[in-house]
Amino acid sequence: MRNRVVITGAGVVSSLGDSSVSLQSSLCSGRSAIRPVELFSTAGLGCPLGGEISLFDAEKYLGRRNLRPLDRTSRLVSSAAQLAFEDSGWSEVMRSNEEVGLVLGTMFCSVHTISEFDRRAVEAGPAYASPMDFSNTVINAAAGQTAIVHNLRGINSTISTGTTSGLQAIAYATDVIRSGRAKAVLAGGADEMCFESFFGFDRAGLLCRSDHRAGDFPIPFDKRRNGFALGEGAALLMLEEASFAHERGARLLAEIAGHGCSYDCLQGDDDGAAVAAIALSIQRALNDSFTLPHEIDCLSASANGSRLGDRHEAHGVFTGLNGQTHKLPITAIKSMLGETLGASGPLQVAAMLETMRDGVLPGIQCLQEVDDDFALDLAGPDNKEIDVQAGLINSVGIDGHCCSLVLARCDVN
Amino acid sequence: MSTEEIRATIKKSIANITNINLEEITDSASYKDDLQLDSLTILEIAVDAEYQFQVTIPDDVLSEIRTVDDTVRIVQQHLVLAVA
Repeated sequence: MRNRVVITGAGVVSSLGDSSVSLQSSLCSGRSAIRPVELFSTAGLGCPLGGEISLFDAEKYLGRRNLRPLDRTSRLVSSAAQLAFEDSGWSEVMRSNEEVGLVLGTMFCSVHTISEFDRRAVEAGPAYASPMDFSNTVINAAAGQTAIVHNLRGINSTISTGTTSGLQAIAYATDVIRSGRAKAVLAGGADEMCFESFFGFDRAGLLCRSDHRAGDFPIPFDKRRNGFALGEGAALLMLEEASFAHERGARLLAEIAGHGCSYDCLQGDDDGAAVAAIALSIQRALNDSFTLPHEIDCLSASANGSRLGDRHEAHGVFTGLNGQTHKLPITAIKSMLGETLGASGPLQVAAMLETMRDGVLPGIQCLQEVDDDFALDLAGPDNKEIDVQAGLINSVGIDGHCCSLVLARCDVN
Repeated sequence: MSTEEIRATIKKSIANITNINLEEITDSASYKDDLQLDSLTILEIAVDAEYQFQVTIPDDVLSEIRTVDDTVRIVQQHLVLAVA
C-alpha cells in the first residue's frame, strides 16, 4: 500500500501577493497583474505587457544576507521556501533534525544568467567571465542555491518540462513520498521574467498583442484571445507523508490524491493528437486518484489566452472527463497572473487550496464570448461559490507536455 | 592610478559582491577569517578586480590572494607590468 501525501503549507511569491491567501483575494477581486513591463525595455517588441513582481526584494523574506550568489530565480525560490516553512510550521530546528527535500520545476531557470555570463565573456574576454555567474548557468542552480540557503539535506531535484515543470515537480515529489523515500519534500516551481524569455516568446508570436490584432490582454477561452502575457513567480508546497504530518500536529490543507502526465510528440501541430494527450493526462490522474469524472468539483485550467493551446485544452478536458463538463466550474488564473511558466501549476494549486478553504472559485477575467464548440461551463469573470471535495488542476505545455493533478479535501486521521 | 584609488575600487567591488558594508571592510581584512567568504566568492572578487583594472593575473598568483591588501598589491604589480 502506498503512502498518502498531504499538503501542510504553501509559499507563494507572485505578482498578485506573497501568500496563497493574498493571491486568492486578488484573483477573486479581479485584480490583474498584467501591465506594461518595467523590468526591461520592450521597445521594438510587439507586446509591451507582462505580469512582473514589482519591487521584489528577497531580503524581505530572507533577512539581510549576501544575495549576490543568487540570481532572480534563486531569490524567488528561496523566498518561497522560507514562506512555505513558515506556513507549514517547519522551524529551523526541525529542519536540522529531519531531512527535507526539494523538487523544483522550472522552464528556463538560468537563461538570464547564462546570457549575462556569455555577454561579459564575449565583450570583455573569456578571462573576465564571472565565476559566480558560471555556477548559476545550470538549470538546477535555483534548487541548489535554495538548499544551501535553507540547509536542506534531502533529495534535490530539478524537473524541466516547459510550462508544466512545476506541476510535474509536485507529481514527482508525491511519488517520492508515496514510495517511502522521503517524509517531507518542498515541491513546486518558479521562473523569473527576463528579457531573454520575453524576447523569444514575442518573436514566436505567442504573446498577446504581438500580432497587433485584437485581444489586448490574455483572455483564456475567449473568441478574441490572441496570445498570453508572460508572468513570473515562485510557489512551493510542503508535501508530507500523511501519518508523519498528522503525528507532528501539522495543519492538513489537502491531499494529493493522484496525478497523471502524457506527451504530444507532434507538439500541437495535429489537433487530434494534442487533444488526446491532454485527455490521457486527465484520465491518468483520475485513475491514480480513484476518482470518477463526475466527482471532480472544479477545474483550474492551464488556458492562458493562446489560440491553439486553449482550444486543445477545452476539447481535451471534455474528452478526458467523458463529456461531463457542462456544469463543471472552471477557472483560468493566467487571465490575471499571466503565463508564469514553471510557477504556473503550483500557483494554480495554491489558489485551489484557498478555493477549498473559502469556497470561492475565481472567475476568468475579461471572458465574454466563448468559442462555439467549447463544451465547457465558462461563465465569465464572476466568481463562483462552490464546495470542493476534489479539484482538478491542469498544466498543458506549448511543447507537448501535459500534466494533471487531483487535489482532494483532507480526511486523514 | 594611486594605491588609494585602487584600494577604494577593490573595496567597492567587495561590497557589491558580498553585501558587506563598505566601512566593515578593513585594509588588512582576511577574506576567509574576517569576512567569512567562501572560495567561489573570493574568486569572484579576484576576477572582478582583473576586469575592473583590465589586467590578467596568472592562476597561481590568484590563488595566493588572502586579504584586501593582497589584492591591492597584486593588482598594483600587474598594472605596472602592463604599462612596462
